[in-house]
Formats: sequence, structure tokens, C-alpha cells
Amino acid sequence: MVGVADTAYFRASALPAFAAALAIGGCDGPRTPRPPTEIFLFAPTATDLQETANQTLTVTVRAHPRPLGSLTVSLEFSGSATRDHDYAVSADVIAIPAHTASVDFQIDVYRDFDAEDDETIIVSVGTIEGNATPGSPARVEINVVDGGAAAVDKSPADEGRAIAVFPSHYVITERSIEFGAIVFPPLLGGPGPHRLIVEYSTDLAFDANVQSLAIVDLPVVDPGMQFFPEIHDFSLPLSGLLPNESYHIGMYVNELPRLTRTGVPAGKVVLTESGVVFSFATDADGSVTTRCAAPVRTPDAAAGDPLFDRQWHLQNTGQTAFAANPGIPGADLRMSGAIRDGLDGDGVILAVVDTGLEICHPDLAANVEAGKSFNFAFETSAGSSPADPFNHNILGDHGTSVAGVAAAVANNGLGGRGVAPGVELRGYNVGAVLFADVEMQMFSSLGASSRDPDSSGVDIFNMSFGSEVPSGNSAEDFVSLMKLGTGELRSGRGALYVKAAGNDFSFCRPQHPLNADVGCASANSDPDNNLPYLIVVGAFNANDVKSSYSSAGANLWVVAPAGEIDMQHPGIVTTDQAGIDAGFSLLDAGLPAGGPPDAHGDYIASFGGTSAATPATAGAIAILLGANPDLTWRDVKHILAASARKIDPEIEAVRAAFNGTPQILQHAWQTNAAGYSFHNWYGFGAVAVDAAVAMAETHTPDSLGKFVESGWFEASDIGAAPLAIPDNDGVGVTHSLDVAGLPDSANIEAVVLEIRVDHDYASDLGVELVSPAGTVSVLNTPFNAVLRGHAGLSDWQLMSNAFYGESPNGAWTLSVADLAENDVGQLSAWRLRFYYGDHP
Amino acid sequence: MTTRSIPASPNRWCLIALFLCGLAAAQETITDNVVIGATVNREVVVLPVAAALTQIGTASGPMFTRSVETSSARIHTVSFEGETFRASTPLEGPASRIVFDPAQRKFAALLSSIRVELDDYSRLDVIAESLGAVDARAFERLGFAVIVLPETLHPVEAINSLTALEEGAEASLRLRGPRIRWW
Repeated sequence: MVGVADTAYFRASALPAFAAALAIGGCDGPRTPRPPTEIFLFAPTATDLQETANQTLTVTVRAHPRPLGSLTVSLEFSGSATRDHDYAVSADVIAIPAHTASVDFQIDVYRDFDAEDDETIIVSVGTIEGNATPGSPARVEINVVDGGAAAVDKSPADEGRAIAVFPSHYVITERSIEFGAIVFPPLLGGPGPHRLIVEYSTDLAFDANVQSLAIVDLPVVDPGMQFFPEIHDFSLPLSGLLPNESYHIGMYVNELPRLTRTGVPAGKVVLTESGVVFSFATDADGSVTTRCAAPVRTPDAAAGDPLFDRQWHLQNTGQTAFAANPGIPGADLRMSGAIRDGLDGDGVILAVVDTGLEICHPDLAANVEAGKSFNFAFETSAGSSPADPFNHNILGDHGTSVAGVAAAVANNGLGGRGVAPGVELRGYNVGAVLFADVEMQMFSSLGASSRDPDSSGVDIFNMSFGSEVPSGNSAEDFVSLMKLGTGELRSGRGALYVKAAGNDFSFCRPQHPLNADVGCASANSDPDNNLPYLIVVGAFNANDVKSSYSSAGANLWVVAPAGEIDMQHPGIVTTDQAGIDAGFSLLDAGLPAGGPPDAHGDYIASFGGTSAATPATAGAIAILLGANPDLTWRDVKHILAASARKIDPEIEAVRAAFNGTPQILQHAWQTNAAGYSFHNWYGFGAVAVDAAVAMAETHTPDSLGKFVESGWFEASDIGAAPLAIPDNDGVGVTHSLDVAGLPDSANIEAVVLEIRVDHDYASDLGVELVSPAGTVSVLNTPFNAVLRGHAGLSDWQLMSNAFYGESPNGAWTLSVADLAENDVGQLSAWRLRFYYGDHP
Repeated sequence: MTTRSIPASPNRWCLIALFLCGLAAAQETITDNVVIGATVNREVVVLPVAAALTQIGTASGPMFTRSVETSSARIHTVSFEGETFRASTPLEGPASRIVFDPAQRKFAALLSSIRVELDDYSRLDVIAESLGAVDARAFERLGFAVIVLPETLHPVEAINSLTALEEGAEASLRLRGPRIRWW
């Protein structure tokens, strides 16, 4: 870089010499012979660099007076830091053209995790070719403040958050509740003996009225063994219970806290670190309440939506929304036009596949399609109705809160409103069956069933869930289901499957300090979220940056507002189980239940998680389909991507050096060869409803060409000679694959990598893919908590949306790097599959 | 991926398994021994619900299994491709039914249900009734049905009965997948 150095960069100690040099060249007085050019080095005032900051330092080579002919200045680097291990330089030799005052070069100091002290970098002027001599200062010394060695934790499990007890099933009869629990003794702390305590109370804190139900001795199990727990069965007779009362059943292990709330997003607060509580209410005759009973409320169409001004996700004015701090105006769905114009998803059918749906909730009931919901617990809950997916657990119903984000009724004088208050709402409570065969309920709920329930008529499926133990691939039957839904539903235009990315960015015990920067578990680890048929949704907060918990990954499509969950910053205001005796409001709803503006306890202000971002996106899609019903599922995905708003635009890449080689573990926003910007935290960006509607209104439906799933393109030459991956070394291994023969008109919609790495500890591995056009996508971030303790990646499939619109033909390059010490392995196989649209 | 049904005849099971030492009770059933089974897309090794010591040939190579019982648990040890894997299960009930999955190199729990592909799904109710099924649901457009079994019926036994009963039926085991997390 050629230019005049900013004087603000000059070191104070260098100024006298430089001033003297300037004085020699002054204009006044008798003309004196022109002095020879001198070469000076200047660095910014602060030459103490923090290694952790990944800083690049600009050093200026100044020639004074300006040379009459060109100069070549060689630079010499010394000091205790090692060049090309601790830092890199942009040039060894500086060419100074004639009549040029200065030229800059850069020193790039690496963030690393080596065990070392603070180090120095000394730069000095070496030989000079041309008519010049070294001036003073001709030397710069930089102190690199070490960031410390990595404390890498490879201990086997994350006991801190492990749930050791959870319910397996329940059956509500007219005389009793039959329920079960599963305990994982290997996850328990302490030497034992461990006992499972089961008790119940009318007091949620279990400080009073506690009745013991059972105490079970638990086996001590060798932790090196895969453990398949016994189901412990219990029975609570209803005969001794009071009518019109709330009861809480607690199951916990004797040595551990009974009621430790985990602080994870609403909907999970009933789970504790050591046990679980589930609750129910009795009705007037002492039976368990298993169906929705409409509470008395007074709608008032003229009164608008009293909580609307707290719903920052719809219109962020900088309100606090019951939190301690306000958000930033404009950090929302950008849908003021849709609200103004009454675009509300009228007639679009939205199914909330979740824990339940309170179909008689005063702010949902008017939008619920009569008789179209389904209760999978119908046969195991006495008194329940097959079309009423009521959740008897009174400590909050996740599905009811999810539904309110998308579809709460507008302008009824009650609460807030949904993103798309004109939709027709259904609820399928697959979550009611606990440890049962959930997969079968999923198939029934996601479009493959024409009875009990008939899900074949649904337009949008809201899937605010994920899998507990990922790292496998999606089951082939599930893939078939997605193909059926996108290929045949909506009269062939395809249903929309909207799915949560996950809340695992910040909830783990870190394996490596870099987990704080790149997250705990990658969203790409969920076995179902690597399918192109889904719209995977992350979350942003009221400050217009990623929600702290929102999982990141190359498989994200968009992000939507969901806020934070700590009530320091706004959460989502939505529906809660109705009444002051039920709902998340019994725990911590973020707004005072029973007083204004929630006099009846029907709402929550602290809902969040990607569970909330998902229905916000589903609601936005409903508005698009309402505006243009002929859009196909791919049209909708395309419009969401093309209209998304780039948030957090200045976010920096995360980079660190391993054994002297820098690795970018997470890129800044990148614009690919087709012009789409993508970031692993945000996908294509934040859903922007008004912009999407404008595009939807002019988009020609089904104009993206035929949707093609290619065969696998194999890296066939690797099989005979697997590539050893250097341990704890950013160099890693790279391998290329030539893709040819796909149409020139192929536009990538998704790329799936299948990879096999034989390795002793798979979470050491970072995986990156580079397209022929040069777009780089991190498909697996290193230190991925999901892979903790896993030996290798066994034909694992990972998806990237970062190449959207690019051509698949050409050379693709895979890089795999091992970024933590002590475990080694090799890249054994990889292949690529493309999903593309065949159009110009 | 190919779909493969579990062989119908107990004799065919026996062609695969070579019993070195039977520790099972005198009234031995098929599920007292190690057998090769199949999920919809891959081979798995169904471990016994009894004590047994077995060498068995799998598509991935030979495997040695040893199942012993304590007063409260059954301990399975599998030696495969130079590695040893161990699992603990209850002695009885559905939770005692597990497989070793050579592809994943880990144990997995069997669901109390089977996946079936039929030529004629109108026969599903009849088939389900013959098995004493708790529930049955056809997903014809996806090309399969799921039959939920009574807890007393081992899925391997159900598949044997079904394939003997229904010519042309393809049946496979189902493994418990990851548990749902509500985000």
C-alpha cells in the first residue's frame, strides 16, 4: 500500500528525529544541497498487541526526503516471536517508487493457544537498494501479550447439564395416574448409593404438603458401559386428591438438588439438573383435567391488542417488553406494511407439531380449525378428546406459546397478536407421548397421514424441536416423508417445513476456549436439520444480533426474532396456558400474572429459543402464501433468502493459529458467486416480511426450474490411501473433487457432504468446503459438543446453504483440520450430493 | 440403500449363528440367542434376552458376543473388529431388548414395533390382529406401515410370525431414535 502515513501513528519517541529530518528539508533560507533520502520505520502508538485480539498491525516505511529514484528496502524480522508461526508479514521487501513518501506493510499477529510467554517482534531496515540510508528510527519493536494456553477439556460427559431422571410415560385413568421414570445412573455424581425419590405436593416448591410415593434403589453401573435403563413404574391414586387443586409430582435422585431450574428457555424450566417435575390439575369431581375448558374473557374488537406495543418482534420501537433493558428500533420482522395492509395469512393452514395446543385459549380459539387438531394422548388420558391436544401439565405448554407467536388473534382486545393472525391453526401433540414411539406420531403429523390426524391438507408445519443425541443421519423414512410433503402436498406445490436450529450455542461445558466464539453444538449436527426440504431457523434478539443461545451452522436458512431469556433483554410476548393457576407464569413468565396488563395470567413475556423464531418464520410464510397462494415451497425458500436482511453486518471472522497455521473457524459474512450473502449465525439473514411480500407479489410461481437431487460425486481416489490429519495443526488435510456433467443451467439449492473420518476424538475436527467459485463454508465447527467423546465421523452428512445459486460443476475442495492435541486420525472418504434447480 | 427383510424361518437364523456354548435354559426360544436382524437400511445383531456365548458372522466380519446375568442386569459384551463394547440392560421387559449396530459401532434399543411393507395394506388390520398388536398404522404413500406390538412380544418373534403368515411381506426392526428436545 502506498500512501502518506497518518501522523497519529507516530511513536512519540520517534518525533524529534523525524522533526529534525523535516527541518533539514525546509524551504526557507539559502538553498542547500539536497540531503540523501533516509528510511524510517513507524508503527502505531500502541505497540502492545493482545494476541487474543487477532490484530493486524500496519507499519509505515517512510522515505524522507522523497526519493528521486525508486528504492528497494529489505526488512529484517527478529525478536522472540517466530515468524510464520506467531505472526505473518505482508512483505519482506518494500519497493518505494520515485517521489513517494511512504509505503505500508502489515504484521498479522496470530491468536494461538500455545504455552508461551509474552513475545516480541522486532522489525528493522536491512539492506537498501538505491540512493538512501537508514534513518532513525529504523527499527520497530512490538510486544505481543500472550493469550495463554488452551485448557482443553476432554473429560467424557457434560454432567453439569445432564438430566439424570426423566419421565417415560403416563396414563391417566379415572382412578389413578400411572407413570414411569427412567434414570441414567452413569450420569449421576457421587459414589452412591443412589435412590430415586418420588413424591407429590400441592406446593410447587415442595416446601409443604409433601407426600412420599416411592423410593427406589438404583443400580450402580460401570460408566464405561452403554446403559439401557429400566423403566420404573409408579401409581398415584386419585382418590386421596382434592378437587380443583394443582398437584406436582417430583422425581429426583436423593443426593442431588430437587428443584434446580436450568435457566434454559421457557418450556424447559420444569426439567432440573437431577430430576423432573410434572404437574396437573384436578377438576370439580377430582379427576385430572385433560381437556380444554374455555375461560371467561371479554373480547373487544375496538380495543386492539393491548400487549402489541410490547411485541418488539413485530415492531421494535426500542421498548423493554418487561425486560430490564430496551431493544433497538427496527430489530424486528420488518412487517409494518403487512400489518397496515392487513396481510395476515388468511386461510393458510398451519400445524403446530408440539407438546400440545390449548384450543380454547381466548387468544387462539378463534383461529383454531374446528375438529382438525389431534390428541395423541387420547387413549391414555381419561376424559380427553381426540381433537383436543390438551396438555395436562400445568407448568406451561410449549406448543401453546409457539402457536401464539404465529397465530394469536388480532384486534380482539386480548393480549398481543400473532405474526399471521389470519391462519387456520391445528395442533398435533406428538410431545404428549414422552418416551413412546414418537417417530410414528411424527409421520402422522407431518403430512403422511389422512386420518387421526389428517395432516395431508396442511400448508405449513411448525417444528420447534430437535433431537437430543444427534450426530447420526436422518432416517431414510423421514427423508421419504419430506419428499412426499414437498412433492405432493399443497396440490403439488409442496408444504413448508419450518424447523428450529437449536439452542445449543452457549449451553455446554467448553472443551476449548474457542467454544465461546464458535459455539457449543453445531446446528448441522441435528440429524434431521441437514435436509434441503426444511427451512432451518435461528434466532436473533432485540438488539439485532444473534440470540446468545441460538445454534449456528451452514444449514441455517434464515433467522427470526426470539430475544433473550434472562429478562435482562426482551423475550417474546406470546400466549401461555390460560389462567393464573397454569402456565409458565407459575415459574417465571416475565410479566406479572394476575395484574395488568395480564389480569388473567394468559400470557408470557419471557418465551424464547429458536422455538419462538420458528413460528415467527412460519407466520411470515403464511403471509407470503396468503399474498400469493401459488408459490411453491422452493419459491418461498428463495424469496426468504433473497429478501432477507443482513444483520450484524460487521461481525468479524473467528480465527486462530494451530501449530503456526491460522484457521478461520467461522467466517464473516460472505457473498457467494451468485450474489447471496451468507453467515453461519444467520443463514441468509433476518426474515424481512414486507420485502418478502413485495417479492412474492411479483414472483412467477414455480419459476425455479425442475428440482433435481444429484447422485453422489465420490472422492474415489482417497479410499486406498486415507489422508493422515496432522494433530493440533491448522494445516489439516485438503482434498479435491472434480464435479462435471451437471447442466450448465444448474443452480445449487443445497450441498450435502458425506464424510468419513477415522479419529480418536471427533470434536477436535473442523470441516470446511470450498466451491469452484471460491465460496468457503464451515460445515462442522471444531470443538462441537455433539461430537465430544465420539470416535470418528462415520459417513456423517452435513449440509451447506452457503453455495445457493452457484454452479456445482468444477473443483470442490474439502479441508479437515484437527485443532486439539493428543488424538489423531485420518480422512477416509467423502462425497458430495447437490440439490439444484435447473434454470438459467 | 437396500431393504432387507429378516429371514422367516428359524432355520435360516441358525445358518447364520454358530453357537459355541449355549447357556440358555432348556426351553430355548429364538430370542435367547444372538441373531442377525435388519432395520430398514442395515444389518444389526440382535442380542439375546438370556445368557449366551456366541460367535456370529456379520456382513462386516466375525463378531463374538457374551451375555451374562447378574441379579439385576444383563451384561452384553461384543468383540468386533478388534474393539470391545459393553452394555447393561434390565433382565426383562422391552428395555431388555437391544441390538449391536456394526455400522454405528454401538448398541441401540429395539422399539416394541416393526416396520412392514405390504403388497396390500387393506390386510394390515388382519395382520395386526394376528400378532395381538396394540396399534397399527399404514403410511401407504410412504410405502410402509408400523405395527405396535404388545410388550410381551419380541420384535424378532413378531417378524418371524408375520413373514410366515404374509407372503411377500417385508418386515424390519425399528430402533429407538434420538429423543425429542423442545427448543
